[in-house]
Amino acid sequence: MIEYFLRYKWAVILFWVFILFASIYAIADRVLSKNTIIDNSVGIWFRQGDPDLKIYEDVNRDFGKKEWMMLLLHAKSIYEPHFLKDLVNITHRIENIKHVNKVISITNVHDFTVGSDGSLQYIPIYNKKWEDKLLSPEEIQQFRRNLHNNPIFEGSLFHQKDNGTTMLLIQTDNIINSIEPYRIKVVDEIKGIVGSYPSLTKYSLAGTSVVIAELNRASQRDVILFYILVTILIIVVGYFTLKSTKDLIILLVVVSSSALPPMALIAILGIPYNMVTVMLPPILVTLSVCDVIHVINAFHYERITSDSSTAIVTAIRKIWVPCLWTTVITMIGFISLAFSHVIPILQMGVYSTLGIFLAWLITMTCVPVLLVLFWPRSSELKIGKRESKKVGHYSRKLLPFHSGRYRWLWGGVTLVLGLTIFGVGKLEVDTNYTEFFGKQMYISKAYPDINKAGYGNSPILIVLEYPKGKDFATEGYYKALLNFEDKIRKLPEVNKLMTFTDLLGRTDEIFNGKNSGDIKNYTSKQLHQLYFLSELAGNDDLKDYLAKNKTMVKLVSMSPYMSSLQLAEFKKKISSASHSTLPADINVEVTGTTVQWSNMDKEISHTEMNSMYILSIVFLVLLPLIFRSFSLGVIGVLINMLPLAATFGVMGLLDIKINLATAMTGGIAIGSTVDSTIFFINRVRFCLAEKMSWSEAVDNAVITVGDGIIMTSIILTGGFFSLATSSFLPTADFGGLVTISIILAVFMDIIVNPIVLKIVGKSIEGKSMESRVENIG
Amino acid sequence: MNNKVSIKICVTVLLFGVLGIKASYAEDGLKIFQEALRRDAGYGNFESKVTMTLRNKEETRIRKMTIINLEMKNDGYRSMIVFKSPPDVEGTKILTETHLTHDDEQWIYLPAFHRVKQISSANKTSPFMGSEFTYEDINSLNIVIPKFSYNFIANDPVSGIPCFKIERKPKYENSAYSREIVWIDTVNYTIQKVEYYDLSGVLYKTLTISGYKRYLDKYFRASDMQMVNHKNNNSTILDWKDYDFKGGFTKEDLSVSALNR
Repeated sequence: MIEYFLRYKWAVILFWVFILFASIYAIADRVLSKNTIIDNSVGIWFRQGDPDLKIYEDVNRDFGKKEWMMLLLHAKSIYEPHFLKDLVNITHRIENIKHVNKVISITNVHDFTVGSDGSLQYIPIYNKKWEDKLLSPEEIQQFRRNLHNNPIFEGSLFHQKDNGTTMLLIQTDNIINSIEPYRIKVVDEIKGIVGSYPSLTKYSLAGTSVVIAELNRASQRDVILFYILVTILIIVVGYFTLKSTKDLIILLVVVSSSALPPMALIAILGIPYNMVTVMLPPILVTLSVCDVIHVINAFHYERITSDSSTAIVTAIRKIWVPCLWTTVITMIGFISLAFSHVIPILQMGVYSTLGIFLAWLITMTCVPVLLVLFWPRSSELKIGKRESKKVGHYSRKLLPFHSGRYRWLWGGVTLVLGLTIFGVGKLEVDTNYTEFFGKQMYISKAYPDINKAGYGNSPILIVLEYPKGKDFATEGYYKALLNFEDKIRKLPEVNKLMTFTDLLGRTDEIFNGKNSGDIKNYTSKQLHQLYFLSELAGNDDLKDYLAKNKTMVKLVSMSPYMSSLQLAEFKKKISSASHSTLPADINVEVTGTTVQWSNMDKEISHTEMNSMYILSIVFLVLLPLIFRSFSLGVIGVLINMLPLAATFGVMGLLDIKINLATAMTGGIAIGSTVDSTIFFINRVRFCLAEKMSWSEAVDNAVITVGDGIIMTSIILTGGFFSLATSSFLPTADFGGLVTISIILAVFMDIIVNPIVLKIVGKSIEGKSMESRVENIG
Repeated sequence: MNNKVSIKICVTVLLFGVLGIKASYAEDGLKIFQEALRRDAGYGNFESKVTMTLRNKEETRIRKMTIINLEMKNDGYRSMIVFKSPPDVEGTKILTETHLTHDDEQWIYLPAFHRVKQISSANKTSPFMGSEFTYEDINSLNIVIPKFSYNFIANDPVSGIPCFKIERKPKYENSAYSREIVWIDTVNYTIQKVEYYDLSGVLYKTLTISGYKRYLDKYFRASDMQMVNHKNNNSTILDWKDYDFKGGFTKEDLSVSALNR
């Protein structure tokens, strides 16, 4: 086959040039188009038809596609005239930002009152006539009195006990599949506005929109930074290890041809990048070098004794099997992610698999052609001595460390590594988006600041759906709803419960007087007519809480941000409260962006488990088959599983949670590191077939494939470590964890594996000698 | 005469010319509305049964009511809406006094509480029974000249009916709109279509009126009004039928004291 490619070398080169340029064209077309290439909104994480997503979308449809941002303002006193004037301006300016639907602030909230003519009025508590002036002390007192008179806003917009803070609730569009980067623009405009008022001493901006905006921003930064870092790494490491510009060019051709087409396909399909798939380019670039480095090394090894064409044919003949198997196993590692229900992880799995296949294809087709073109003569004639030194240059130095007392040292190190496995039991799947950013990021400071000030920073939606023919006012149901709300309010996770019953109660208080009667016992007609009155009087906040002809009720719990495990507990409490207070025919759902994020956790743990199951089966079945030996297969499995188990152990011990990014650690780490084991053991088998002793075979494997293992490991380590530079902590954790795994794997492959193989080999040789002696006897 | 002077004269003439045209456009717009008002004057009172159909992506809901309208000499109109369904609001009545110059007044009667309450007229912008109509929309269909400024734009047919296209801007406080574009039929002076623009100048809703019939040989009344909200794509249809101009309603029938009768 290689001869065939060498014969039609220009056709092969033209084919790959075409693929390369077509890919560059597709990517450039996407980048230069108006379509955003980054999107981290909720919709991208779930399959269509996902039941949790459906609930979320239904609620969005019925109540409007909206979400909340929380803007906490600190001032010397929020009742200071200059601050209030600034607050009026800030509120108006934020209201005018595109994609902002509504701003609730103490300077624009309304309350029911009875006018001088006796009419029922729903008017702003902060008089419109005050908006352009500095308030007098009397006017401030009046405003303060009116504000404190209405309990609805206490705890959500201000605290009577705290004059230094006030909250603005900003309702924005929640377009869950938008590729328009509107969230970043909204966040930047809000920050620009509040940053220009000296009467504010500090501000904190939080909310799911803010988190998504910052995820998008981090992703944009990462996709560029990772690519630059990995490219520099490959050029530098490639040049210093290969010590040849020609080989470096070949390396870069392979890297480009395997990384760019999957990205081009993503561009053609219009799939936006997200915080998972931004890791795709550096991962592809990093992984695509593995086979080609071994091919280049093998080619130069063979070229010492043969001409170039013969050298490449021989080299490929010797290593095509391990190249194929390493590619297959790496592909399986990635394809195991394609079974994930979390769409970005699935995309990562599919496109990485394609890239790895392309890397293998170009290594087996174009690389031989390029090597022969670049290195037409035998190295023996011109530079034989220098070149021959190149083979095993680094790994040769390791040989002394495989014997004597060093064996005990490495045994001890391996044992210590083994002990970290106890950390695996502490592993948890948990997601807390507010901890995803660096400690210095404003968003990381905003959530604790809002918590400390006593406000909720995470709106959790509790949605009640009434059965056909019934609604909120059906006899007995309103009373049950009020009891349910009372129970919810008492939960420690609830800072403030926002509900239409407060608004309706306030209408009743003004319409019927404070002692009019117990609203709990109003008839259905009374409740409906009260609602009608409230709506007629201009209360347009009601529609935020009641939908579908009043058969769907939304309660908003303003809570501290909860991780997915905490949220799961909260959901249990809500469920318990609903069972004890609400009629059984009312369906209660808990949703919202934060809830959706936490819903992903079960999918994430499925992803991790599926990935590990698939890999374990593949390892147990394939490695003995590849090595055609059960004992070598078992050694291969252990050599690869120990670094992974130790990495998971470290995760558990350091309390690093399994989340969106770290869920991929298992599949990708194994896929990346198993190559070295296969190359090594395959070489040992090859040498044994050449009638070498086990010890000679192992040493030969160290010398011939050791440099390749070191080189690819350095590139893999550097490539994944570049992810650790991300300001998005799960990506950084993932990069760090895979890096640890690779470092441990290289230790296992070129230090522990040779020692183990020599011990195993000695015992096999001993047994065969004994049987031979017995036979002779 | 030097060049500078002649340029100044030209600019002045042009400026006055433009202002003159503008004034004439404004006058034309006002005159068209005045003519529409003149033609409709003297109807006295009428009663009509109205079915309101609210449509969104999910569902269609029906509301039924009776609307009584009383022409007040030199002081606008009075109207009373009596709700027939849904059953929970049956018997609820809203009385509105639309004045020519000063603020409108509104009262509500809630039968479940046997109580009448005046409601602030400032809240014109809230939805009418959860529909795409607001009280402001319904009130503005009664032509109240002084509450708007007018600007004739062009002749522009609607569904083949020749119309005047006029821009009008609310002069009263608390309007939800920055401007309205109204199409008035050039023959009968009936409103055919209205486009409502929100405070940021974006087209918000479109009202299409059709099915005009002449009553008492003079007064045109429509049978269909369809309001489409361009922001949420919901729509509401008002189906007017059984117009009766001979009900003999008086000021006392449409008064606060009559609400809880």
